[in-house]
Amino acid sequence: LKFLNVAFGCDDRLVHYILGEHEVGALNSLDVDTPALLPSALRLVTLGRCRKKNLYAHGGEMKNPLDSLWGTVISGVVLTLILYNVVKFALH
Amino acid sequence: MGDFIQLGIGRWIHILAGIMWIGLLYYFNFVQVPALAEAAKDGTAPGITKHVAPRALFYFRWAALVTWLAGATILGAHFVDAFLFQKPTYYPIGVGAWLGTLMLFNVWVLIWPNQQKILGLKPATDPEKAKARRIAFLASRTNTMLSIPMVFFMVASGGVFRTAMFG
Repeated sequence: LKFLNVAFGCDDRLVHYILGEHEVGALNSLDVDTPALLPSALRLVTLGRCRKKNLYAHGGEMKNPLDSLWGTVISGVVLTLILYNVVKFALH
Repeated sequence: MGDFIQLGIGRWIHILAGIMWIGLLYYFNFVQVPALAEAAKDGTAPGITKHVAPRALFYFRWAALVTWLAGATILGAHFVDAFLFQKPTYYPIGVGAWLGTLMLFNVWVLIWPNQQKILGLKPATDPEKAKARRIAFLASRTNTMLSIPMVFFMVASGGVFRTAMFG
């Protein structure tokens, strides 16, 4: 619960809902665009919306990973893994 | 004799120039950018932008071009095979070659023209300089990111490393 609060900036009640511990009706009071029935895959989408909403609400914006050296290096490593698997798949 | 020049000398020059290019790229990103932020606080930044940056940029952009040309020389008749992924043998080096080409594009089309404005080598207003600073910064960071898979595929395209990575 704490992780979801910190990592995604979610309201407690929304976190309970995302974790499947809350009634859908309890979301009515929350200003979140959430479908009435939420399969597990959509719970992730809701998390994303939740995070975005939280960022906007606090006047922030999505950060560019290239603004930090670590973000740049991690992006490079991830890109390497993706391309490596694409080439490996193409070769076999 | 042809192979000696194309594959031997060509590879040697490719690696030498590549070290200078990527070495200076890492210098800019890991050393100069953070150092400039610190130097701006005590007023010593002009020393870097006036005496260090133009020299580093000179070797940086020409080393980029020499690296690409030497790489193209090594590919020789297989240049099209690599860039168009026509034969599986050339898939790994093809990916490396495309990444290197994108990086060369960034150097000459995005980084260098914008750095000229930032360093005052080309006339620019303050808003233009601010915009140029952001474009050059992101292009440089993009190249740092691309250099990671680029070096991987350059190294993984032949020898025992290729066998280990791709079977």
